[in-house]
Amino acid sequence: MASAHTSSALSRRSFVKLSLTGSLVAATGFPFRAAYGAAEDAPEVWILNGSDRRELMQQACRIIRDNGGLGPQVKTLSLKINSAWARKPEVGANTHPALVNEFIKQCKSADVSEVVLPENPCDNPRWAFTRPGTKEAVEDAGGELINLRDQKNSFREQNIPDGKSLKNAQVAKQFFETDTVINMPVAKHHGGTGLTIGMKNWMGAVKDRGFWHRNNLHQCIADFTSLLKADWTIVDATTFMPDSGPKGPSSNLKEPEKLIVSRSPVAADAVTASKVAGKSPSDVGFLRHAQEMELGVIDVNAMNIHRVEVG
Amino acid sequence: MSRRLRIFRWIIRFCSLGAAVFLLVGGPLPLILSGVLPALSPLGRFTAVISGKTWYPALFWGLPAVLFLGLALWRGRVFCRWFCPTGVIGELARPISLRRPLVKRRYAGIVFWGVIAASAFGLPLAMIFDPLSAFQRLGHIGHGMYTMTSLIPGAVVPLILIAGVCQPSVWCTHICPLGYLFQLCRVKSRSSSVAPDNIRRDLVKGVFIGTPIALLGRYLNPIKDTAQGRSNSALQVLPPGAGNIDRFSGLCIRCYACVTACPTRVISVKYTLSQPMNHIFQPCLDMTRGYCAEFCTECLKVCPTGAIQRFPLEEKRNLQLGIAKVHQEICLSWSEGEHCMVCQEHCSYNAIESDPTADGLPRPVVLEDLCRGCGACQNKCPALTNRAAIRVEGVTRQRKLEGSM
Repeated sequence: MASAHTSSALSRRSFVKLSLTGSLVAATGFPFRAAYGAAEDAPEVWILNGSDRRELMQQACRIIRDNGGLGPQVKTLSLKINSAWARKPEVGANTHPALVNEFIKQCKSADVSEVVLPENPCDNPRWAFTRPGTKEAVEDAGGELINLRDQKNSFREQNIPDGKSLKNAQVAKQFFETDTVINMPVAKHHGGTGLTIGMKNWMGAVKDRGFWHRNNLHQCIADFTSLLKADWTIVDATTFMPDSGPKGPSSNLKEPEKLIVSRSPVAADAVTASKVAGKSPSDVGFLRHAQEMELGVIDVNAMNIHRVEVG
Repeated sequence: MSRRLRIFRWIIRFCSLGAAVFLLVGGPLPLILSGVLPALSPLGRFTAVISGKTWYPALFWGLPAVLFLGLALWRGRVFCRWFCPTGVIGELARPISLRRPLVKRRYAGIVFWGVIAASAFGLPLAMIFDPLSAFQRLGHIGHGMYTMTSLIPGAVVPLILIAGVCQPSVWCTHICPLGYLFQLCRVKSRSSSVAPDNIRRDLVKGVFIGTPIALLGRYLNPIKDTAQGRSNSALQVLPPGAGNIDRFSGLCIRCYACVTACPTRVISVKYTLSQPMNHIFQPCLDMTRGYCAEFCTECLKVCPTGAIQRFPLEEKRNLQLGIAKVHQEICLSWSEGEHCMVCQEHCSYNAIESDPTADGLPRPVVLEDLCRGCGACQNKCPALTNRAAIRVEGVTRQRKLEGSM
């Protein structure tokens, strides 16, 4: 289903049908994660531009729906946001709560019965979940924000066969138990890696982050992407912290007012690095490693980039 | 005392004991109540006022103590007989008591005046002798504080129980300075409880014993000279609002309400031999357990003596509790060339900068004028499993930084 634009193997009829009806039901046929076998040839990436976060997210969900959607069988969804820091939304350290709230509402109206948001925050969850307003936004929309530090057996041991540096990890189990996985990171500066977007966001789903820092952080980030790829990545670039990240506050906060949507986690990060942060993707360590490991395309000229004005 | 009254009194006593235990356990209670139990003691109030030379914390926390003091004017040791939870514990041993005379003379007067004199010189002996403060410390066993340093000061109440087995209520009648204070306050005494002569004698003895102990505690630091290379006599990092280290040591009655209240559990009790004696058993920040959270003022709210001053959140955020130091020899960035900077990530105050190498490897440097010493960097440092490569050292005086945020 999903790979209409990424894999030539998909039948034309299915593609036409999909485009005509734009319906979720039509987009069926393949196991949900089948699209992630090999490196994609020309990944599709959408850059949405607009000042209203809710309208941006509605448009992003429309794009997802028109391009394969979440799949017909999807009843449970796990969402990886960034709610790691005790910072107000306007600092841009966490995924903006309005985006989270709107996305969960859209999921609910698309008949996804269960939306869970597991998170192992950096700051104490007592402040990391409340100060950005994440908890309120999630609960208001009917999702479930899970504090991974709180519960026993939150994590599951996973081997990473393709990992070079990170061979195994304790990962939040929900990401392997739900029908689909969505990554909704925030784009910002990061002191350690220079930039954090989607791939690095997964550090908030593992138990032992220290290992990554001790053992070639950039490589570990790429290794983890070989284990767990979100079915869709929606990058919150409505704000962008150009320095003092990842926690901030930064006195030079930018407001690019963008969402970047893609099925390819590597392409989403590459486009964000290039179009939002103004960095060449090949200068970002984890993107370079991802390319070496053939996890995705990082050359923005080899992608189909769609620009969408919203509102 | 009639049988009925006696039963009634035991009911009240058990209710007080239950209430005190409930306050310790906390559970659904608001955190601010952690400071209530030690606040009930007028002795704690007195020593705090004397030691801190400040009276205003007593305005708020002193109200319940004043109530009991007022009762004492009329009925003397009514608090001891009806409400004191520590007294109940001592009394519980009465039926199985061996009735051996353990302490023959009554030392309560000397202890009281000794405690008062010592607190004038900055040593809160009330930490041992105030029964309510002692009772409060029992709670640490329930809060995951099993270190020796927290168990030793927490041993007073069990000792009172053991002493009670030897000689019934020996603590209450012979030693307790709080009981003596209540007795002293009684205006109209039927049976002459404290004769003026005895007061004078106790006062002189107490001052002569309490003062040197306090001075020794303050100036005698047995290991100081030999302690070089041993924790390089780094100062402890005190809870926010502690101000000057000597002020804090004198004011804090070691009730550990702050330890109980701290949501991140960073406030702990440690005693290193390189510290002066009067810092003994005082709460300090142990960054291996947590770090002082940016938007938290719980310990400031619960301190019953004003040892931890109440600052509004914004001022507390800008207090410098200590200064972080990078130990480059074990730092992942400096010594191993890893892309780490976890300390910078977790710093709430942008107090860690990068000093990158030519090929862009970031390496952490602390900006001392911005560092609050909250310890997030130390707590999160992944360098070694047992040792952080960035560690906070205390300051002698907590100052307010000009917050740009």
